Amino acid sequence: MNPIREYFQNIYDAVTSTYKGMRVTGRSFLKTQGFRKVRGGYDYGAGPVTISYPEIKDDIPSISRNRLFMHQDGCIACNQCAVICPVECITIESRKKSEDENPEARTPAEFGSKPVKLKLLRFDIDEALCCFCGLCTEVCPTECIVHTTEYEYSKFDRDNLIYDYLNFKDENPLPKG
Amino acid sequence: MQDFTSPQNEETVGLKTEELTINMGPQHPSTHGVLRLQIHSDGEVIRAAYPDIGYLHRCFEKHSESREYVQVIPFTDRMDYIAAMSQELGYVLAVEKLLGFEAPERAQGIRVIVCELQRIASHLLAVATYGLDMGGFAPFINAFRDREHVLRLFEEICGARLLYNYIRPGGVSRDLSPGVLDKIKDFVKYLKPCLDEFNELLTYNSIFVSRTTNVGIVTGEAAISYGFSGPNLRGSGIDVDIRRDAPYSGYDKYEFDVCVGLAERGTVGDCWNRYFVRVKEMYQSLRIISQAVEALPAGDAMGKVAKSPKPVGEIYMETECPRGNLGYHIVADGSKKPWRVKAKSPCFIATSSLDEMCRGMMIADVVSYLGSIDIVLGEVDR
Amino acid sequence: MSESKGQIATRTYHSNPVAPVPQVLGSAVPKSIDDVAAALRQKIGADSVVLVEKEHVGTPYVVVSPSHIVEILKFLRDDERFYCSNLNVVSAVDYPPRAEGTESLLKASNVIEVVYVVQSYVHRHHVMVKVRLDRSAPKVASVTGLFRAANWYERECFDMLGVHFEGHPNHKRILLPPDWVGHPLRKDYEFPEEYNGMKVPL
Repeated sequence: MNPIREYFQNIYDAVTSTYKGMRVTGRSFLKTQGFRKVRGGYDYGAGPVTISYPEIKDDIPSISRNRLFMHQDGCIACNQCAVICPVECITIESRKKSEDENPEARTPAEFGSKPVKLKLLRFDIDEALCCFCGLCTEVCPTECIVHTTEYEYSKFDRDNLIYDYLNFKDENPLPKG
Repeated sequence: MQDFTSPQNEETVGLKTEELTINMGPQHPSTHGVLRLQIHSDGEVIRAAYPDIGYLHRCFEKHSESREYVQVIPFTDRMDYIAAMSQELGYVLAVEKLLGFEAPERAQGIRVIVCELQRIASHLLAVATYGLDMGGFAPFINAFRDREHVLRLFEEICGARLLYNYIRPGGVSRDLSPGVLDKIKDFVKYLKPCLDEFNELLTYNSIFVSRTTNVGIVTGEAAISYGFSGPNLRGSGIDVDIRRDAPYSGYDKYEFDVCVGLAERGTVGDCWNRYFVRVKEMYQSLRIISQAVEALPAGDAMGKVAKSPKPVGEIYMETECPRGNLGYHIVADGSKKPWRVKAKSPCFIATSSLDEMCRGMMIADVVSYLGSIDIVLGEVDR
Repeated sequence: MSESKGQIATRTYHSNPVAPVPQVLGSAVPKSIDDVAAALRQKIGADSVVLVEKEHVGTPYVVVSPSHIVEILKFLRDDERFYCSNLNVVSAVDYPPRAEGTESLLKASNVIEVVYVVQSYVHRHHVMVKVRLDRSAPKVASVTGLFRAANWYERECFDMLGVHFEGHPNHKRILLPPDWVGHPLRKDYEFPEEYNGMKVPL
């Protein structure tokens, strides 16, 4: 192509490209000025998508798979969760109950009233290893191990992420559900 | 003009020159993961580029020999972590074929919806990071805003945003909660103008076009010989798509076009055409999702399959993943654990083409080529 | 843009011959594994095909003799009945020797199998071709000259299982570090305690 024509063609290309890009920016600049009508993010395009976390937090669905929690009353030490875990992060120790340890006990009603034949000695979950797949929650016969919606539990030391659910002490309040 | 690609040394230009060995190291913002390229270059022009992989090798194949079939599914998620649903679907379809089982129709419909949503999310990331490598920041932010909506939809559907463990032998692990289908329909209506806006920002931008057209041209014959598949192969003009040619999971019920590189800019087989095939595929995915949502039948989301299946036999099965044809070669011996699971990864093959394709390119063109073949090192190394 | 830029960028360096792209898409005539075995016996020789397996659940396959593998794959690639121009995967499986009297549903014992799956875009069929190699010294010819995709697949089989591919241009480990000892996907592999002073986690 003629070099002079090419020179002006390049200038024209550059100006039109820049104009198109700035037009897109201008449109969204004007559109996002204004209040968000609905929180929760499903009113698509209603306003700015950035929220000032951590003062404002988004709601996450209740089926969301975050940190695990085990209700101690409901556990019958069947070991299913430890067996199914793909990364072997659950450690369970139990022994048969002796005569004076209430061998006819059952789990409370919300955990299916199953007979508790073994005494649970240790139940640790290493949350650093957990891959949040949800397999343990699916195989538990009493549904005492659940995923909560708790995702803000960072620690400074990896060993602090080994949760002992028989002596559960956490600075966060007990998670719901 | 002077030809820069032939070797320049004392005889030709009167200067003593040496080849430079540079590491486009494992830590690099544009290599899409931990990929090391040993580049021997004569100034800016590359004479040889040797890819060195294995930095993200996590022994998926050895792990899967000591886990039950259902326990392997979280591991398959983590190979290509950007498109996890497609990885799960390929593995689960292979296991179901060995069991001789076909999932119920509602489960198949849900699988198609979820895989096409995943395709949109994966392509959005691919084109956005490609634009970022070329220097454009605004398309990246816009595409990630849209991808965020897809990840929130996934959280409503199965509980996780990136690594799902949702597709199981027999169906899907949990049915859709009420209200999710309406949210998916709203999302489809919302995304189409966003894709048009994305095209305005990036696809026809003159800087992007001049950096990506006529760079890294892979002809049709070479693409087949290299073993390319998916958008890489279709960008070179070969009209092949497993979803149309050998449909699985009910894809034959839906109407969609197979997008092939047609050289609206540049030549067929260059980086721009591979990129534009991905953009066109997103529009087709939206079509498939609307059809699947309309046609979703009532019924079970999970069929009657044993909790710990024990298949027998040997199978090789391929499915269409956003990055190419993902294949699983499973050898089953009738016990609860597989004897051998081999995952054929399309990104592995795309990375193997770097050696020959990079000769004669400038170093900036390597970044352009790497972005257009869309590799994810998790899948390359497994 | 200027001519010289076009000149630099479009030059591609292919030193190996490439497989032809069949232009006649749409006249798909998929072939069965028996057709493949019959054609191989007729063209290559009666001793090239060892057995045909189609009774099991899954993909039917044909086991061929390792000395003819390059001819067989070249025939499958170029013959117009098959046109298998795409090499899908080169995978390898280890079958350790079974003790006397043990039952197993596996079809092989005391071999290392290398599995080649080739596919045709024209005729829409897959063909799974296997070779069975001696477990103590597995060796087979490399098919890198026919399919460029075989290059890295064969390196991975060498890395993971120790199969030697004769004639491979770059016969080195690919996923593991170059000074790793052992081939991990073998069934009798023992994990090392340490690697270069670092403890190997199990």
